[in-house]
Amino acid sequence: MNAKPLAVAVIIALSLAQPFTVSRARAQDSLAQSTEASRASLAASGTIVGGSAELVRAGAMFVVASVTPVANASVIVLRDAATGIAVSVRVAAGVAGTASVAIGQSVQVVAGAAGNSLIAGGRLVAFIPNELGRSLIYQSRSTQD
Amino acid sequence: MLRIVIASLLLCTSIAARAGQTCTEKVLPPAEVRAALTLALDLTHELDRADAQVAFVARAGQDLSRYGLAYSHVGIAWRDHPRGRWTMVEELNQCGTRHSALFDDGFGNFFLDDMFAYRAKFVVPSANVQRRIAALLARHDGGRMHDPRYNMIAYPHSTRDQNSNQWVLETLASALDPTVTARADAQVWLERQGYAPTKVEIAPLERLGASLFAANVDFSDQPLDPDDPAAVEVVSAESVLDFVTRIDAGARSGVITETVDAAR
Repeated sequence: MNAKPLAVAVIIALSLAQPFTVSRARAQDSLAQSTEASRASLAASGTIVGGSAELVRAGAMFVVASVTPVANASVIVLRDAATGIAVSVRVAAGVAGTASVAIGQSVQVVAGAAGNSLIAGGRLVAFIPNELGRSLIYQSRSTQD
Repeated sequence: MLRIVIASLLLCTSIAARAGQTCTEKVLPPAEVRAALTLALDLTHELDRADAQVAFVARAGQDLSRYGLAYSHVGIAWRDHPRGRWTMVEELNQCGTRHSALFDDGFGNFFLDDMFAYRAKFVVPSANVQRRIAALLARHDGGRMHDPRYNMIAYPHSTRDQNSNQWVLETLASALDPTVTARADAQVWLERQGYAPTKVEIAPLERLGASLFAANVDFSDQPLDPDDPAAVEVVSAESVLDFVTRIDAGARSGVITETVDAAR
């Protein structure tokens, strides 16, 4: 088969696949998302990997001391603007806000019911779920099939 | 030309063979994690405020607006679940296959699933109906109406397959009528009570694509209406909630939403 018929075949196959694969991409409605995946999202959203979690509290202001890329993530070291004490937060790579984080930039903590939001330059850099937020994640299967 | 057709079918088969075989799980960005957990907490507060012990909760997992639907999946929220206060009992499809299972999920899991919109509608039945459903769940009878043969567009008047909303509906029937002990009984009971499934129009090309590429979608159980060949009947989340509010005068409903905003 030369290139032209193959190209036509690919187009036909993809045109048949497209109408449903596009909607399937959003067809999450009853797919079983595992607890591991949910916890992975929580961890990727923002995890304190160094320093005291108590520093990240409502109204706290930090300054970015460093941003270090690690495997599939970035570790942002934040220095408390008042005390100078540092705390390190790991955020998954690819989070929109982290790409624009610069050393010396101010980071504000905004508290919410389910956790704390870290805002830098008007962008959400990380969301660190609190105990209440994490307690909402669990799953058990009650049938075997 | 024949070679083109054969090549197209081979490619289709190749793509179809992979459809529903994988279970790719997406890591969500912080703004969505925050929205999901906040919505889960808001739901808890709303149900507590209503002094509920059982509620039907629908989520907007996918965009079904072209079918005139705002919600895609419904589960039963149960306050006193042994697994934890306010647990969602739901039927879930496994990785796009033809199989499903029942799960007891935290509200966080229910919404932390790449929602189309962080919006939920809940219906709190009257106290009597809540008691009956809670009693059924406490007896571990939720599995009685479960059928693991999953089909996203299962025909509502057939026991061959089941979608996740249909399990909720048939479980409601068995909770309200003790003579309902099998799925067929539930469907007779629902018809007698005037349950109306949702009719959606699915174009022939989309139907063909679905049949070829999605293991969890099977149209073969749907009777063909010569006057409306695109018509398909399904148990939608909305049809379940509408039915509950119609047969239970004491039921109360509400909608909660949470925005995904990376700029705050």
